[in-house]
Amino acid sequence: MRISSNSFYAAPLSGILNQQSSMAALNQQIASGNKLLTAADDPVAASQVMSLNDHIALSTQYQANQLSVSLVQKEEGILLDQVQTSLQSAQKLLTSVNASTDQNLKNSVAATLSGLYQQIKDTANAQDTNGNYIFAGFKSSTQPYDGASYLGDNGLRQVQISQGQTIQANDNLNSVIQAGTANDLLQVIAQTAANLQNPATSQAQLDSAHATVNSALGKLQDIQVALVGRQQQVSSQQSATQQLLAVNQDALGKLTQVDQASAIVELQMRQVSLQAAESAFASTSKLSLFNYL
Amino acid sequence: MASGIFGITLMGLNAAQSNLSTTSQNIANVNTAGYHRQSTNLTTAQPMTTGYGMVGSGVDVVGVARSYSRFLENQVVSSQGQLSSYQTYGQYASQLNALLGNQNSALSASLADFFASVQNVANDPTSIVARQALIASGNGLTGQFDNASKGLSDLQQSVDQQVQSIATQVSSYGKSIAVLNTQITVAQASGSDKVNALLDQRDQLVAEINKLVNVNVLNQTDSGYTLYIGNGLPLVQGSQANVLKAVANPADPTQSQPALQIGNGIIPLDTAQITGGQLGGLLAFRDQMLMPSQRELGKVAYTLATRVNGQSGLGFDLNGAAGTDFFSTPAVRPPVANLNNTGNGLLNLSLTDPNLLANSDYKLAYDGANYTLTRVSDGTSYSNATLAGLGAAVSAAEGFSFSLSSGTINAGDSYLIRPSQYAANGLSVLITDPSKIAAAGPSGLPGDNGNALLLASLQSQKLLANGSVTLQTAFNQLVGQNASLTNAATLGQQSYQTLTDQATQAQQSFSGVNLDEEAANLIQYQQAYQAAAKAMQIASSLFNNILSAIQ
Repeated sequence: MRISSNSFYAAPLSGILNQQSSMAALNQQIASGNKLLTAADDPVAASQVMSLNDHIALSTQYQANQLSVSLVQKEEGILLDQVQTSLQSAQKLLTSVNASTDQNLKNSVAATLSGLYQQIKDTANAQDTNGNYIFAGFKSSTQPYDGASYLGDNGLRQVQISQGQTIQANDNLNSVIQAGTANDLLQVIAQTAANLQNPATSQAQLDSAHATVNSALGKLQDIQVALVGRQQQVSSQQSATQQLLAVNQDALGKLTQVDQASAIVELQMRQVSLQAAESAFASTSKLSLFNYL
Repeated sequence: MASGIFGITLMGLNAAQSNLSTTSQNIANVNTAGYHRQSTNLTTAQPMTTGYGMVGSGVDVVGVARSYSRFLENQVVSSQGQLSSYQTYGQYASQLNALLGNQNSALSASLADFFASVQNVANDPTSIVARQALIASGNGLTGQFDNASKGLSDLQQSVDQQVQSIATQVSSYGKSIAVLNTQITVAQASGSDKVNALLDQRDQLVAEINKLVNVNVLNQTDSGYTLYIGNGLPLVQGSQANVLKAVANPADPTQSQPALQIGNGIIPLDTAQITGGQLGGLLAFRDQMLMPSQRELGKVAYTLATRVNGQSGLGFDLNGAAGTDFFSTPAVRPPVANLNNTGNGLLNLSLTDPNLLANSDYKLAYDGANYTLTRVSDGTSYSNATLAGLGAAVSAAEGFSFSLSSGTINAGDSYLIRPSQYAANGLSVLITDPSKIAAAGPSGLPGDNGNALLLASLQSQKLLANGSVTLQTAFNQLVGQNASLTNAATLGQQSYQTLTDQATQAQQSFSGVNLDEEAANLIQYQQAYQAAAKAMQIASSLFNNILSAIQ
């Protein structure tokens, strides 16, 4: 085929330019470690990357939520254990006395009971690091137990720990303390401490107080068991989220990360062909009949 | 007899000279764009009849012709036009992709960050730090929306300016072609040797125009090239050139569109017929990527802002007061009156449910009896005798409604409706006091995070496209769709680059100059010249012999 001098120069030149631009793209990939430089390079992969990015962001947020709720649960667990210890002490004390016990001993039991009363009340009024009352429901800025009535509410906060799964983040102690009722734990303990100092304390009064403390311990245990259940739920969700995150991050890596070894090999291959094209151009471009005239 | 030899050799010398000069011309123009190699056409001179038969009487130079193939030229011109269309499309597309952030979009990340901040408020509703972080995330997100939206508007302006400058350039080429048409007709009539150069120039201009916009060329022997543009309107006709202009699109005056000025009349071009050249690429980019991006971005911004505001209004802030708007109210673009309307009616538009909005523009028209709203993408239409009746029907089916704000609508008037186009413009966060964030549910108590949870749930709710996609997915789909279009443009560019290269090589193979060939020709013609000169010398010595014989 007849070829014009312009084509003779232009054809190898465009080959050289193409090699150079693909080398530039490879260089950029190797330097950034990212094989998907723009979404248009591979729209399908880019869509997957966007969706994976969203899932990863969401999982990361759920992890933060899980951590946040697990810390709250841990704190609540410690407080519930304290109430339990106090109630168990009260139980033991009430078992150790009866109507005919020596008044001195009754007085000392009364003093210890008063201390336990304060402990239980303080724990029920515990605040978190931000000064919010933990067992006050939504009324977190109000001290819930004044010894006579409950000033909080029944609000239960939920925390999102996965897509479509929320978990209760707080409890109140109403079932344990029964503030304001005939079985008001705090009032019963306070009253019992006062009664014990009175020699006329009846056995019936002591028995009733004992029953109240026993029942409170039972109710407390219900709350503790439910809390442990929720802690397990969070913990199992934590590992599920972690696994999902790992899977997604792995998939993202496969889609976006450059296989450096093969990229470098390809770069070298292109370098060789570029050199070949350049040297071919250099030698053929010297050819001209005019050189021989 | 001797005079015959002199005559013939002189003709031979002339022919060799003409060949040499053509060869020099070819060598000189080896790098001239649009140059077609020339060759001298020779023919045997009419022989003389003598008593002993026919005797040759020399060689005639018929003319200098260029190697020109209309078929090969058309191949180059049309593939070049497609190539430059894809190139222009691709350039604008990558700007747009960079603006929306490709697959690692800052906007997408800001959206996720915003909802993460809402979750953090839900986790700890009384924390002022978490609330402040939410305001900061909100500001980050609206900043991203505003940037993207402004960037798209800038691109639109840039497209409009480009349409303008292409129109100017095409008009100027058209004018030159009209002048060349006349010059060529005159030169051809007078047999001027300039004809080839003029033809080359004219063909080169046609190629240049086709890089800007696709035109059809009809070669008329008496008047030269006629160039048709768009839907068959004459850009150039003989010595007459019309002017390509960028005029306001009557349906949407904020957009420019090409039109042809013929005399005093301005005729808008059917943009569907403008498929090649930079102009074709620009218009396709505007229709396929730019406008849909504005529409979708606006839709996401509008839905986010109105949903968050709506949910905020149902909740209570840290002080127990009813929640107020978190975001500014996004702008809705009112229906745009067609420039050709005879009535002065102006319309209001309200978005009643962005979830129902189609990925399309809408056109509202009045024919004197009925108002009709048409979804442009698929032609779905709604008709009613009253504007209010149509508004109610459209509101239920398409998620927006309209009403007359002033003036009257005449028969034949029409309006373009792009409800969400500018909704992302200037979006901002209204709340500055962290305690004003409506995290609490109906109890209105500080420890209540009920409303924050509901706000956070907006992230996973399918709020768009008839309840099929979330806000994040809608945005990702936009980026994905743009990526596919860009990818297609890149592939188109590559294949038309190959086609152009092949066509150019074929055309060059026929019309291009090969220096080695010219070098060989130089020697050949030089030898022919030398041979003719030798013949002249011999004729001269023959003549001298006779002279000396009769002395």
